[in-house]
Parts: sequence; structure tokens; C-alpha cells
Amino acid sequence: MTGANGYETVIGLEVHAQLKTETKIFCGCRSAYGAEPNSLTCPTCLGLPGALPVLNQQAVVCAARAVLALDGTVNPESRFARKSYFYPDLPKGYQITQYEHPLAVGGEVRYPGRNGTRKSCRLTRIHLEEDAGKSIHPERGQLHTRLDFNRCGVPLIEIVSESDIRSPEDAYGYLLTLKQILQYADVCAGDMEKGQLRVDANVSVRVAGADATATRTEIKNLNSFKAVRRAIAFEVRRQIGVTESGGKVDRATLFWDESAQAAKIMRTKEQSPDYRYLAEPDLAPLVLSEEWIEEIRRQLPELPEVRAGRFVKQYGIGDHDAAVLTQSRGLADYFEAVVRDFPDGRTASNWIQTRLLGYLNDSRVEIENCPVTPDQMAGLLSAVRTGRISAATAVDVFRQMLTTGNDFQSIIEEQGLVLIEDESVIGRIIDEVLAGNPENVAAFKAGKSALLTFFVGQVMRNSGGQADPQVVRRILIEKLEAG
Amino acid sequence: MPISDDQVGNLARLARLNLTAVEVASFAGDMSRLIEYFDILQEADTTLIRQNSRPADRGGLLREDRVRPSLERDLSLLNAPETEAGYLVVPKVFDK
Repeated sequence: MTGANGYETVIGLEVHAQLKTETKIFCGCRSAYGAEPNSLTCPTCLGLPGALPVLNQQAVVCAARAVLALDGTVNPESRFARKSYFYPDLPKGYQITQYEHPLAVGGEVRYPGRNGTRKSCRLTRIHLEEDAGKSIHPERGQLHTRLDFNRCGVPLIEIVSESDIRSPEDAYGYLLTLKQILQYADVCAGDMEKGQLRVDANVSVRVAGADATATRTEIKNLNSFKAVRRAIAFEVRRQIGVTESGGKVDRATLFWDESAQAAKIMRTKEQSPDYRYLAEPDLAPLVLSEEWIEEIRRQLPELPEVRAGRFVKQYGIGDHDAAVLTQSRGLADYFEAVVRDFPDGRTASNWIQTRLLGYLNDSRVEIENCPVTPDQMAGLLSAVRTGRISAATAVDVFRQMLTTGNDFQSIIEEQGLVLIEDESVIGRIIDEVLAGNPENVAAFKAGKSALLTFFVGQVMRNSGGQADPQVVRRILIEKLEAG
Repeated sequence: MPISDDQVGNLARLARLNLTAVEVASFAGDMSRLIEYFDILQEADTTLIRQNSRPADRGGLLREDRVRPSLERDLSLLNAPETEAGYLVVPKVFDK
């Protein structure tokens, strides 16, 4: 963000993503959200003396999948380290993480910027670590913090970006794309309300074009992507304000206070913790063979960027449509299932975007639980295409399919919505309309040809909307010109 | 003395311990002696010993992702000085 004021914003993000495993990273306790407090613990995740960690294979698989989906490089050997931890919600007193020898280095997230531009942010590293427990902080006036250790040892990856991001909007775009890729790769469910994705933002502001790195601050406690965007914007304004008034930005860790919409000082540089990293003596180095890594790569699904590109080519839809349809793997699968039976990508794309997505958003239903199956949508669209029902009727039928879950066949048959194509029936309705409007017939014949629309409308109305409008038009013209 | 009073003070702050100046000085002395004691190891001649920084065999170090029973909650909270509704209770962490 190089504003007119001549400052440039420099942002790096650290994202913690919870891996989709059944159990914790170093023990067999279930990794689950919302269980009774302290019901999912054992000597290992409680840090009891003598208990030993054993690495969960599935956590490694998930982490490697994330690395490869993000174009990173899995290190053939990585190591675990202990990081001293100064809060009571991790009873071992240290967190097992990776420090000097992370699981992976490099990678890139390509994400959409404003006005159809493409942006990119490089990744520094991705490493494996365990989560801490949950502290429930006291309300004002209370004296105690309550602890739930169920989350202790839940597997995480930390994805550290380079400081390539230049605006709060781009930070938001980066996060949306990162989440999408992690979901496609089946690495992380991505539910922020359940803490499955957590973000820390490093922010600094420098005079545009200056090489020197300005002092950065780190913002924690960002509970939604929108909060990330707001918090960064707040911090950029704050830092510019400090600089403009002749002050100096101090290195600090801030927390975002959502209710106050402000980033507040959590600790200053002097209070920065001393992590005292040391090699984890209870875990051997993690050694991954090239064959194993390639096998994980082969198992990766088609990722959103590639899939969107294919949609444009294969189905003749626009870039924007392809981006919308590939926003989740479930939606992209749905679209392709519709198009298998109804090979008109544009029409299917339009229907999904205009008729389906709004409903799903409003009713908070996931595409996986959509009451209308793809083959039902394909059948409905085919019925319009073959002229069995009108497009207007189809919209109404589709709404009923969504709310009742009924088949389109039974809805159109039970409610008699099939178009009248019988020319003798349509002819009779037309005769009635013409007989009832002698002045307009005369005016039409005198040259007021715009009245054709009026007649079509009357006939459609008298047929209850079921006459095939094309047939109506043709017979009307015949009759008016003949008479 | 390899460990200064300042270092002990900093450690105490991180560990949330309130130490008096006398205690700080006393711990600084104790810890310094501990570290000096370990210096004895540095004097050992290790030139003939094979480097052994990777003690574990490669492979077979991973665990299947299968759930094993957790501790009964009453048992897991047994050492907690105070509990409430299944939570451990500790002095508040932040002064917000």
C-alpha cells in the first residue's frame, strides 16, 4: 500500500492450521473440538514424568500435503525442538515444535488482488508443532483463569510467509486463498470459530522506496480474516501517526481487541520471552524419503488455480465464474457433476451462481448437503432445453426442489407445469383472446405491430403460463395475418 | 560466577516466581555452581568417541493415527490444586 502519503506497508503472516487427524500429534488422545473439558488427556499430553511422545504418521502426511500443495520443498530430514512456554495452558512447560530444521522451506501463495490482478506471496517455511491448551480468562473482577488441556498436543502446521504483502486487503486475499488450498488438499477443515486456523500478523511501515527495514510489530489474537484486515489497517494508521508526529515505532507484540477495534500492547521488546530452544531429546529426526514425498504428491487433488483454468477452457466459462465455482472443492465437484449430464457449462454455471449459491448462503447449508442433487439440477435444465417446461417455471420448480427436496419430475407433473405444446389447445386460447379484443386486433391490422407483445402476454396469462411462448407467437402471427 | 542476579531475576519473572533479593543472590550462586560442575564434562577427552547425534534408528518412528483411551478426567485432574466444573483453576494470567 503505497499511499499518497508516501508510506509503504510491509506485512508478513504466520498462520497456524490444525491438521485433520483423528488423534493428537504425539499421543493417542482424540483430537476433537467441544468435548468435555479435560476429558481428552493422557500422561504424554499432560507432560507427566516419564511419558514419551511418538509422532503421528497422519500428521506428517497432512503437513507434507500442505507443503506440496503450496509449492514448498519438504526437507528430507527435519527435527523437533523444545520451546520454553510461559503460560499455564501447556503443562509440560515447553512446546514441541521445529526450529532450526523445519519440515519444509519455500513455497508460494498466488492470490487474486483488486481488479482482476494476480498477486503472489512467497513462503519462508512450514513446520510441525503441537497446540497448547485453552485458557478461559476471567471476566473483570474475577481472579482465576480456567484451563482445559484437551487441545494440548493437537497437531498444527505453522505457515510463515515472507513479508511480501503490501496492504490489509492483500493480507485478506492471501488468507482466503491459503485456506482454500488447505481445504482442497484435505489438510485442515479451516473453521476459524473452532480455532482451526489462527493468524498472527507482522506489520511495519516504511517510507516508500526506502531499503531499510522499519521496526515491525506483531499482532496476535486475530479471530477472523476480517479482523486481520481491520487490525492491520489500524496498526498501519497507528505507525504512520507515530512516525508523522516525530516518534519512533517500538518493537512490540500487540493483541487485537475486537470489542474496542484497537490493537493494544501485550508486551514490549524488553518483555519479550526467552524461548530457550533446545533439541527435543525424546524424538528422533523425521526422515522422509523422496519416494514417500512423491507418493504424497501423486495423491494431491487438482488444486483450485489449476482447476479454475481448466474450467475456463473446458466449459467456456469466464475467469470470474471459474473462480467462484472452484472456491470450494465440493462446489467444483457439484458443477462438474451437473455438466456431466447437462453439457452446457455456461447455463449450469449461471444457475449455480444465481439460483443455488444464494440459497446455500442464506440457509447456511454446505454444498455437500445440498437438497438438490447434481443430476436433479441437470434434469431440470434439460427439461428447459427440450421445451418441456419454461425457464420461468424452472426457476419456481427449482425453489421448490430446494425447500422440499422433491424431484423435479414429480413437482412439474403434480402441479401440471409441463408446457402446452398442443397447437389446437393453444389455437383455442388465441381465438378467445382475439375475440375479446376486437379494437386491438383492428389496431394491429392498421399497422400497430407492437401490439403483438400484448397478445402474447394475454395468451400466456390465459394459459396459466404453460403455453409454449414460441408456438403462441407463431400461431398468433398466422391468425392475425390470415384474418 | 556464570549466572548473574539479573539472569535469575529474568528467569523468575518468566516463571512467575516472586523472589526476594536475597533469594535471587542465593539462586545465582547455586546455579553458577551447577554450571561449573557441568564444566567437568567439557574436560573429558572425546576424541576417540564416535559422534552419536542420531541415536535412534531411521524408520519405524511413527505412530498410526488411532485413538487410544484418554485418562478418566478425575484421574487427570488428581494433581490439580484447584478445579471447577472440570477445569483446572490457576491464578489469572493476564492483567487486562
